[in-house]
Amino acid sequence: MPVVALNPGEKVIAQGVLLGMQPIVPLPPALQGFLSTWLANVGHRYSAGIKLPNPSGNLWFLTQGTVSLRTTGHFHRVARAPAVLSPVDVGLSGPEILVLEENTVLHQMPAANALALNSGNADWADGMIAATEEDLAATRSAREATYAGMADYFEPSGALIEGPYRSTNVRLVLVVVEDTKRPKLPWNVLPALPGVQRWIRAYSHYTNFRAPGAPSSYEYQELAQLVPCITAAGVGFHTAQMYPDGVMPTAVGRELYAFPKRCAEVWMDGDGGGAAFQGKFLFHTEWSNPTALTLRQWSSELAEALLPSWASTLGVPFVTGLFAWMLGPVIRRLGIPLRIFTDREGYEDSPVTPLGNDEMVRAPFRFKVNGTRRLDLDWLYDVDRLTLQGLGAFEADVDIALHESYSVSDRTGLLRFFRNPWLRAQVPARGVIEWLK
Amino acid sequence: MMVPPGALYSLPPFDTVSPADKAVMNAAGIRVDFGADEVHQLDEDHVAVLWSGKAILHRFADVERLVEGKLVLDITHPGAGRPARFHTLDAGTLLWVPRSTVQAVTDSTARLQTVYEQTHDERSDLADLADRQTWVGPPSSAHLSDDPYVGELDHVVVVLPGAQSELVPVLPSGCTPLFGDGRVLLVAGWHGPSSLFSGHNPPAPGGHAEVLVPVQWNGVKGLYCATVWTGQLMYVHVVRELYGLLARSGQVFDPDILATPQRIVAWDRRLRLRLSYGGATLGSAANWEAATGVPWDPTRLPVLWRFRRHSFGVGPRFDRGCDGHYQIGLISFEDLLAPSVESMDGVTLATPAAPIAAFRIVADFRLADPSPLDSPLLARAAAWLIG
Repeated sequence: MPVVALNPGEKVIAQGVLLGMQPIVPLPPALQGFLSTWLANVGHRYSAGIKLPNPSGNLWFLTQGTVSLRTTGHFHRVARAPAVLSPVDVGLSGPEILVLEENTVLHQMPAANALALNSGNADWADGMIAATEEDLAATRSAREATYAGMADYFEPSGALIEGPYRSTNVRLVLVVVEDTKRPKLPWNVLPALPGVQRWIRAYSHYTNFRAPGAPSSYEYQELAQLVPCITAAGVGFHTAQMYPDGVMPTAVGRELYAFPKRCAEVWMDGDGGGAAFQGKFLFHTEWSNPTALTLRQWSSELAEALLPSWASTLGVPFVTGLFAWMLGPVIRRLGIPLRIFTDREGYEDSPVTPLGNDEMVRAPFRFKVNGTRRLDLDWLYDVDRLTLQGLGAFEADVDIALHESYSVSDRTGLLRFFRNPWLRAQVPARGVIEWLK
Repeated sequence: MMVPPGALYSLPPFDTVSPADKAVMNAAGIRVDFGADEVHQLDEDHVAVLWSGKAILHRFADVERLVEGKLVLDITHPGAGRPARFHTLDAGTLLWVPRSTVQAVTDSTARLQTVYEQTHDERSDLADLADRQTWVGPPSSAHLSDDPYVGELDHVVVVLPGAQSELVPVLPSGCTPLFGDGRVLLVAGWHGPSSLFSGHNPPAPGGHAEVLVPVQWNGVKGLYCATVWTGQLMYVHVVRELYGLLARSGQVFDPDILATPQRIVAWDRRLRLRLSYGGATLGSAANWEAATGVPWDPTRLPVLWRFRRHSFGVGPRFDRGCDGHYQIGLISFEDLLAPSVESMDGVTLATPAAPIAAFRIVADFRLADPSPLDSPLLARAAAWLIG
């Protein structure tokens, strides 16, 4: 059966993956073999960015790669292999499959064949129903978690339960990246190391994030961008992009901590992680071979990846590791503070500073590090930065407490003023620049 | 009791069932006639078919939706494996068919179609939420759009003496009620299909409910808004962040789908509001002012609320409080009606008081970015300079 494809995809054989798919697994061996061979013969490999229309509501089997499903121009969901793209996804009006990943392999089954199989073979029908019911249960579970979170975390007055929010056994994967140009920083944030274009893309998986006294916890995954910086409040990381995969972390993060969160689809597992926003890839990484490191080794290697070569020559990573070794018991028991800064939107008619409406907020994280590993970074892809390079990947198991955020630019007391005169000195110049804009 | 003649025959999961199998299902089905305000429990062993009438289906602990006959309630898993219940709104008929019978006689294509449809329904909210992320700005800022929210609204306003303490919010300092009887206004209504943030598709229609208290604040007579319930998840974010209102998720039904007599149902875990209203007579500005204490202005409705945007413990200017005052501008009124309230009840309204008055407002609206009253620019600049 020829495949209808706008893209002359390369024909491939992917019988092994097809055999493991739910609608095929319960089939009698003879039919299973026949069907998988038949489907394998119409499997095609596609390049990223290809759009495939599906006017007849056919079934598609995704055996490799990632696709974004859209209906009438609206993003529906991201599907990762292996998956059956059922009529729920692609059988609606104006459906379209957007291939997100290189070497994506799709197999198409015309609707007529699917219907014939469905009415003529009880095993096939049961398999399809089971696959779709699994999908239904997962969707309902996501909805339930969203609504339960809304009910549990809003107080009777409508206010969100205040922190500190905590989570244990958080899995962090820090990917150190470098590009020809670093992400833009706001006026009151300076790069920690001028001329160094390195920063961190951090994946995190929170399993039980909750506020004190909250009746339930929630789970989410997130991709964030952390740029080493210096502000009036000291050295830390500035973030302008955070992509959690849930409504509750978006609401809590935006309101309580002023984080620039947007709801996206995020995944991370043993082999890699990725994030898609509005059905388009933001970032995709593959890693392998986790190697356990001591805290000293881990800190030293992370510093080496983040810092330029001259800093390594001067022994900065070694000193960093030494500090980590000396403070190890404290870091494991009490935790270490990490400064995360972000800029919060102001309102147009009541500027906070003479320079503009936005202000900077510090969200003080505290980490207790339980385990540290190095990962081999195999591959990465950034849709907006094709020249992005990966310099290393580091994994950690941590407990996190997120204390109350506060405004940095409002807290400009005398002590801070004199401690950071060089930053203050820039204010008139920056003001002129802003005015000229 | 046998099922009614013709029952099950035309419902989507059963329309391909053979006459013999339909007879089996009819024989196995149990018919239950119910009245208004009854609670029925779904279980794992039966498929419930709402043959006629309307009910609120409690699928999970807090996820609820309006259902109306003819509808099969969960042919797959009630509440993802957990029993669910539904609360009837009016009289109707319910059929209980053993799940095993349904699965034995229904065609697999029909079952599959049912599961597909349910999955699609469940996904629609999440897909909608993903669509609405376009309201958030570019990657460099992730700030919400400041564009005004415009559209049309259809609201019913019921004025009640404040015997229901749960509905009466704690007023901020300097804010005094206009009436000594703890008067509150229950508002439930719908933003029409063209409602949207200017220039940001898709449109944002949806129902919401509010509790308002007639107050005087900083010399302004207005309606103090403590809480907003809305069923649109992204709208919860937007009105909280952009306008500082303490919105929370809830469910409010479009009066159009509730037919005659027109009713509005709104609820969350703490408030359940059901209004029925009938023949409307033309309201008057004098009646409005007498009931609410707020002068009627055909171009603007003074709604006041405590300014809570970014007020969650982030900095000294918020520590001192930012009580604000905004106005919703009503561009034009089509009518101001005084419907008669036929019934009203709610979980939290153990002893509902008789309404003082009721109004229906149909209007175009424009909700622009508000500005707080108590923080002059000069004071802010001075605070910043002296630290």
